[in-house]
Amino acid sequence: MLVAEQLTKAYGRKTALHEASFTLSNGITGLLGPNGAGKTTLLRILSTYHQPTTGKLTLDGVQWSRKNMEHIRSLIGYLPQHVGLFPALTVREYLSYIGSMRGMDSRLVKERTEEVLHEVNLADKAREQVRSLSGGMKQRLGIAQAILHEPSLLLVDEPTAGLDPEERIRFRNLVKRLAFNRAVLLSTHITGDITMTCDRVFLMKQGRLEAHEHVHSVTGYASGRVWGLYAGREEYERLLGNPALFITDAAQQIGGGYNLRIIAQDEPCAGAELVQPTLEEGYMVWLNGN
Amino acid sequence: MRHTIVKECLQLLRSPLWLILFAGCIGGSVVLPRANLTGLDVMPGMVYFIMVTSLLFFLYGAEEARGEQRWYQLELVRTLPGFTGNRLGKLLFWMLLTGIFYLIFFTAVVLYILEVHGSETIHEVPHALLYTVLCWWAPFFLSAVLGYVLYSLTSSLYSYVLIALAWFLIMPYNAMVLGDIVPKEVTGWLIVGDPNIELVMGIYDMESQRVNRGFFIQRAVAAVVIIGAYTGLTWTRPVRQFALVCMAGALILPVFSPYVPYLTDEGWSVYSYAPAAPIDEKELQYSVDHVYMKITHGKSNHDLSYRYEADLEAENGTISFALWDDFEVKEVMLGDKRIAYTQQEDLLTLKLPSREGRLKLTAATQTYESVGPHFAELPSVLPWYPMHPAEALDPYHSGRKERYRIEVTGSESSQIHTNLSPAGKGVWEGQAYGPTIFYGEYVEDGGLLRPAFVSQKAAVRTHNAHKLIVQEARSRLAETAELPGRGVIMTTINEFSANPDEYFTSPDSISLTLDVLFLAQPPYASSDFHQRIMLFIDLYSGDIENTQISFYEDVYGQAFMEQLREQYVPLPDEEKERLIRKWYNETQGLLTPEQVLEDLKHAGS
Repeated sequence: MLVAEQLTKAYGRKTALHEASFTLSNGITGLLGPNGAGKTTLLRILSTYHQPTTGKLTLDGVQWSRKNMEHIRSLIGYLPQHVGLFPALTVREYLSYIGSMRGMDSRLVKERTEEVLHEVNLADKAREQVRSLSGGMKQRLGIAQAILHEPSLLLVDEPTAGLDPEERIRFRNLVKRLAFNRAVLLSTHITGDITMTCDRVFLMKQGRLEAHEHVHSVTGYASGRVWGLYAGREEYERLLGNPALFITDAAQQIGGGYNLRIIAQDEPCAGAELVQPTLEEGYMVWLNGN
Repeated sequence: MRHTIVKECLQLLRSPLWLILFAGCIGGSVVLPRANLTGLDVMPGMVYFIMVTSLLFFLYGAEEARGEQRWYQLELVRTLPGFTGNRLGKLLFWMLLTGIFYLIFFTAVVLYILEVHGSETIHEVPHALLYTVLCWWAPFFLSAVLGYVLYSLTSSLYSYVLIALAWFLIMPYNAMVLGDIVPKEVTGWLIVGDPNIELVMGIYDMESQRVNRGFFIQRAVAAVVIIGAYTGLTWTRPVRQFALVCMAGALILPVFSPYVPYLTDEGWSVYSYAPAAPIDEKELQYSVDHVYMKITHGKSNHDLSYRYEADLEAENGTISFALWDDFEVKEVMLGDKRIAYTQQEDLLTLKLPSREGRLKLTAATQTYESVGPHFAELPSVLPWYPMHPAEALDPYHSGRKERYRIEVTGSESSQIHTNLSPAGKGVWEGQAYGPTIFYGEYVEDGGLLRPAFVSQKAAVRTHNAHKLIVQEARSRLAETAELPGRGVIMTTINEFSANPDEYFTSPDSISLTLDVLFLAQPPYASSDFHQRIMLFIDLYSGDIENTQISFYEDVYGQAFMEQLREQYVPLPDEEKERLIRKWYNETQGLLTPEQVLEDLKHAGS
């Protein structure tokens, strides 16, 4: 379990993270926020890449300090936004090297390499050079290196960006499996990833973190504000021009009309009905200050 | 660290481009300059190839940094427990890579030389090895690290501009181009490769391929600064702060270091002595004896200092010593009294408070060309020490014997050769026409002292050549002068010089033997005197009769040469020899064209 207290990170006069306090236990916690919200900064602090300016961190009862950094690092798996790869190595050599960097016994590295290769479905690529892998495979290799040493904390930074739908689903399932016995913090700005995988969610905006124990509590922000209706083309165009509304979905129907989902304080037009909000809609409402 | 080294090896082995470039570099460096690869003493001549190879390693380092960024390796590696091992492993790998490259390079050059030119210079291997480790391997390794650091810091196309600039600054060409803008003292410290492009071919034979203490200090400074930059770039506080402190300390070190990695070359100042103007006879009426000298060899640049003491008896209140201006006098005392002195145009003039006493003097040089970190050539015939001007001018005919006791510090006693007898560790004494002190790799054999790189055969050949000149002059001029019994072959003078006990010459030149032993020495530097001596020598050698050489007409005038051809050339050889002996007896070689023409009127009659 990770406990963060009053974490702050400042770069000169700019504060990228404001006094974040939270707890991470087993399961997946989504970290959702717009670009520049401070998600990567938080993950880099938790991965030990950056040192916090102030604050305290405790992982599995061990408080972080300069002296025990190597030990702390051995408890963490980190998949950065751009996974660090050594292109000339084969997949197996790459994992073997990362394992040795993590201080793992060579026999254990060998065993675990085969296990994780199966786990991420890359066993048939073990002898191929990393440079020859597709984007999705590289991402899976990234997760393989992050879980090779069976960390108690897994940090994943925007892992599905750039993946095709099949790879994305495969990846979500993999992360779900991994979260059975460890804490996973999944940073993303794709709400679908959170909905599909996360138990809890942290929202971030301008360096400030807001922890939610359930995804539903985020959707609650939009409760009573999301309207559904069927509209013709003219009506749709009129609604599009209304600045008081925010259309979150416009699915074109066979007859030419649209099934619309609209965030609005009041009924946007006659015939509109209140519908159950999604995480994305709750997040949008939160993002725009209710 | 081991795993990082293995990983880096695998990466390199799977990079055919770099393998081809490295192999091509070694091949090209052996094949292209092969005409110059004649012995193991030519390593400094490889400077251009070392510069190219260093640039290659600069680019290799930059490519390493570029690859790290392109593949986002650093963010991952920084979060792994083995981060420190990874970074140190990378440094160690560069060390190994450049080391292996260097060894292959060096071995290829050595094998080529041994195969094609034989093993005559094989004794140079230890020197060549040490020299090339510092002048080849060190720049290769440091270039790779610096290339990595510069690209990591700037990460753009401008990085390559910076790299080109850095490469230029730490290579020997910097002195050649920046020499007029930046003092050599600064450019010398910047160079990580061969010491100075102007000196790489070995102007100083005794310093060629020799590594002085300044080299080690300079390489240490460069290593601390460059590895410090890598450390500062890699780690955060407090390691970064420590690295910065070390770098600052290293950068200050050259200011205080007594040893410098370069040899300044202000001008070729070692030649035979001739005062600029006549010296007042009164200033020459003195004598010294019981001379004690404590000499300290600085082992850096041209550094040498000494304390000189002698019993002085003078007839006048002002006396002059011959002393090269390179040796700056710091203090002069007579007994316990400090006395006034002036030093100019290779003359030291003293104002004496009393006519006799113990003269004490300290002097030091940082410019005398016959002194280097690995050698010192201090012959008794040249005024590197306070010498009577008459003796300095004509040591063979005006030499004076005094008693000497010499103490030398800063040099290994076993490498010191002198004309005095040993009197303890680092101490020599005896009576001599002046002290001769040679320090360095010299060999004494059969009355000849020679640099180790000159063979005994070559030394004997030189000796015999001088002997022949003397024998011929003795028979033709009916003179009793002899070639001194002890011969010394020097590397920093080309002119023959001698006193009755010793002669000094160079390996390649036998000039001035006749002048020094048989002819009058002009009392001061005068082109007129010089021309008169030249005329005698040209007649003595017979060269002046050679009509193919128009030079003589320029020197002596067309009218004189025409008369000479009409009246002198047709004379029988016996008559010419009679005239030459007559001129010699009457002028000791200070012959004028007027006298020649006058005597020719009566010749043959």
